[in-house]
Amino acid sequence: MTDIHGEGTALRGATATVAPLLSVRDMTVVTRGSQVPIVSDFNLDIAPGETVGIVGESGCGKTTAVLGMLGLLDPRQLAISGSARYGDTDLIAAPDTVRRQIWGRDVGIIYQDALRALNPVMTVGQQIAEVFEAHGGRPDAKEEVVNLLARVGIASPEVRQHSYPHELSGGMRQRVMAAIAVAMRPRLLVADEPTTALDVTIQAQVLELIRGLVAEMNMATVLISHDLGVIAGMCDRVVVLYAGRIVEQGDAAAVFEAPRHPYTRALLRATPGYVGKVAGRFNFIPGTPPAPSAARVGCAFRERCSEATDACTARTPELVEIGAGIEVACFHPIDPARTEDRGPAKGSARAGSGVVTVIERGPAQPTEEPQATPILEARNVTRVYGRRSWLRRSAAVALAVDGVTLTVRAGECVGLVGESGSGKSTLGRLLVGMEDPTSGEIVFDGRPVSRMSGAERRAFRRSAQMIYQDPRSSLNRSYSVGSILRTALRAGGADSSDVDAQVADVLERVGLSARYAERYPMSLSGGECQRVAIARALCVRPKVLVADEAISSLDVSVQGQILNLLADIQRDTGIGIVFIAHDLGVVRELCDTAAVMYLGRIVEQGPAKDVLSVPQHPYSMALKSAAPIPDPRRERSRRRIILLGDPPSALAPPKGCAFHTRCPVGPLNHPDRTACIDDRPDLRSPDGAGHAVACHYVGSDANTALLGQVT
Amino acid sequence: MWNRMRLVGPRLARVLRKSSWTNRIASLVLLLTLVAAAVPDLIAPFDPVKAVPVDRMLGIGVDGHLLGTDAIGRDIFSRLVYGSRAVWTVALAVSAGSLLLGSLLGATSGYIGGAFDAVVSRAIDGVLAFPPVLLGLVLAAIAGPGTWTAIAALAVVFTPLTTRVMRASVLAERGAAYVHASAGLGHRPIVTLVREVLPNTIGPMIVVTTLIASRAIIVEASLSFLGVGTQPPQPSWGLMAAEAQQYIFIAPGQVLIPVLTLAAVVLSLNFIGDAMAEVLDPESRSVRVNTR
Repeated sequence: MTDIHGEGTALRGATATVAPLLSVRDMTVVTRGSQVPIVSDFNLDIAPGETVGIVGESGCGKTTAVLGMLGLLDPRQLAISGSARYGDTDLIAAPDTVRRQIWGRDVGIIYQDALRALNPVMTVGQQIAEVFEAHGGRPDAKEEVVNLLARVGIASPEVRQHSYPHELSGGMRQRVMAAIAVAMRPRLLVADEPTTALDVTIQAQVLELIRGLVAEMNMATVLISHDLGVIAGMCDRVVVLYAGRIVEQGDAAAVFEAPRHPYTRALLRATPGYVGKVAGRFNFIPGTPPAPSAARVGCAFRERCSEATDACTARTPELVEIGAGIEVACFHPIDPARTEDRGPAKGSARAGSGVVTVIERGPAQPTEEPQATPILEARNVTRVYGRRSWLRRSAAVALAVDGVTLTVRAGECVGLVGESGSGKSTLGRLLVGMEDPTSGEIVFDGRPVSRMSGAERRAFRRSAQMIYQDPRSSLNRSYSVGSILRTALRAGGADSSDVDAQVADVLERVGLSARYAERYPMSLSGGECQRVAIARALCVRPKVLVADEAISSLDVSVQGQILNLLADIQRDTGIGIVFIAHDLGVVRELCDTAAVMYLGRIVEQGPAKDVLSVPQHPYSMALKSAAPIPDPRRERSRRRIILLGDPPSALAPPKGCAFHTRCPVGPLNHPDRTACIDDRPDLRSPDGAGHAVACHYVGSDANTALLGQVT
Repeated sequence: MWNRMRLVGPRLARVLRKSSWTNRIASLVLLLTLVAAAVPDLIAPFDPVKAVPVDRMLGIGVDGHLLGTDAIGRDIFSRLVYGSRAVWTVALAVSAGSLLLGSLLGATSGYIGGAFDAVVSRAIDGVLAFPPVLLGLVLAAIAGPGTWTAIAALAVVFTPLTTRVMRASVLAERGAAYVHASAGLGHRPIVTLVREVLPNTIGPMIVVTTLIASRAIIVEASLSFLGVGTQPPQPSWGLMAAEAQQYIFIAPGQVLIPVLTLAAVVLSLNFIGDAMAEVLDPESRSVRVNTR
């Protein structure tokens, strides 16, 4: 504790003596016309060389605040008041001719969506050179472009500079954007969710790159992220935004150690990887952030806050310093001394009853007999896309799923983990019968699906329901929630006399009131949509539920609700769940068994706690290492496994072990390990128990040493 | 779907109430011409086909002839009223025909895809190559001139538009998770297509259908003008313009009145089509609670 506060004050001292690089005062952004405030009373000083993290749920005004202080918002849509002083210039008020000198030269920006931020009709080299042209040009621009591309880790930059953005992978595009942002060696780097669209191993690469660039060029950095884990690993100071207002700011280590604002605490507890949560239960914040409104008075968080009193409704709390350089906008800041005994609030899922609603209960228990009969099995299934046809001679053939065997038992939750392109979603579609395997067999209730009649097949499809990633797209916007559920109930053969009662019943099971039956999907939040989608699946009394990235498009604050709901459903109904995710932490908490997939194959499989806590395959270790931890001390001190490059294409998977081209303990670093290149390792169990690994060198010294980095 | 249709009436009324004056005028124009088409005998003061040579070429308002008379003494207002029946018959029949045909072709080809889609799409491209007026002339030459010949020709000519819009809408919806979910409930493809996909195509289909109605009115007028649409002495606005054109310098009103009426109806159809699309679009459903 003390040393952390020591660091904090030292940092504040530095901030106080050196004039800030950028000083934002009383910035307020409102929409033109309706005067809806998007950002209110935003004050921020950024010291030279300092890294500031801006965090909050989606729609809290993070991006608007940062673009606003750089003067980059569209004045036709948004009216900005206040000032943002950069040297002698007010970036909000200065004319464009002056600001253009600063944009790109003194301030570099990395955007979230590189594919849209880069110009599709220009090569990446041209786009980097463009920055030089905009700022007076330089004679050695050509060489500098190549140097920059090399610096951001693009292999063979002389060739790659002639590539167009669509020819590069997502990670490489983000590297190119970083090159553009730092081309003029700016004094301030702004990164707006730079890794949100990327896979975890690529995220780790890009964050490592940004970290290196910042250290090398001594830039001040503003990092916008919804992920407290990313902020923890990168930032000196953290600013928490809620409904367009700063609710807490201060030294990152101190804020993470002892958050003072109830929102910060709740958000931190909801973040995957947060340690100290009650086992088997996921934390979340009830309700949703309020819609911005000019008429609103009082603390915007009060409806979701456990500490709220009448004062929170009457007045809007000001941001005040409450010691150790921490500022909080709350009438009832959490006393760090009392945090321990207060503990997580206990209560039900009623909105407003508790910030973090935790229901005490043991970890998800497998049913009475742990080896229950398998309901759904994939037996050595393979799925090939783009089969060679006589019309197209050279059609590419991709092996999306390659010889996978997986068993789902009643009352068991199976986690499927892997990055995009690993084949986990394809496997999910095969399991519910949405697609047929190219070879191998899906077996439901002991009977192969391929030998079922049409009616049997439809019955099978009802028994294996899927929850989709995009909750909005999974509900038909033409129908009310009630009519969506009635259709599903009828499909499940429900008695039509009391359908309305059954609709109310199934809504209640997913934690929604019967009034929701009249609502239309467009008027629901993402989390509510996902609940309705789960309710629809339950209508047909399935035996297996396949949740394909069912929480990844939701805010962290609501993810926990959906996870708890899935765990409850499993406990109450004893159905099997296949939970497809890229987040290892969530799978470890939720699932009984887990399988890690890489390029269409399962590389490691076994009890979830074993596979994800002490992984044996180098790829699983890398995945675990890549997941950020929302704890600055641990996040900064730990050694990470950074994999090289992108996953190979499924069109041309490497021979032998598919992972050997990126494996940190493979032939890259251990030339003697030729077996990885020549032989494809099979899943086998080193200890004879349930934990199986597809690696030739399981348990070798090098592998064990690698594991030591992770645990 | 019917649940939704039930909402359309009140919603349309609400949209009209708060909508621009152009939409109000447009709905008034359509309403008046529709009433005229439905019960022309209650409105028209004279027999539209009865020539009264003594009263020919009367000016506006003379002897109770609201808009005067034409070269053989027929009451122009009465002809205009009866002509609206021809106009609306063509507009409704053509748009209904091409809507039905196009929905069927577009929905099936978009949903099934593959070779079936390829064949339908190329056939549609072929039809699209025909100029509407030319096809009308050809059909008239084969089947003889008349209103129903013109309707048949136009329904065929405009089917590619509805087909393409329907196919594109179905393709856009087909990959959505709710379509997969419907299949996952054990519904047959046809059930999924009709119950889940089609309701979400209504918005664009309404727009394209009103566009077709207005274009059909114009082309029917052209065909009548050329003598292969509505046959004299039956009144049609295109025919009226054709008959009056030789007197355009003596009595320009006789040409302008049917032509301007035609233009007003076409314009109104376009406005109302846009308004309808807005009403039927689920995205603009009124009970919108912003939860962010």
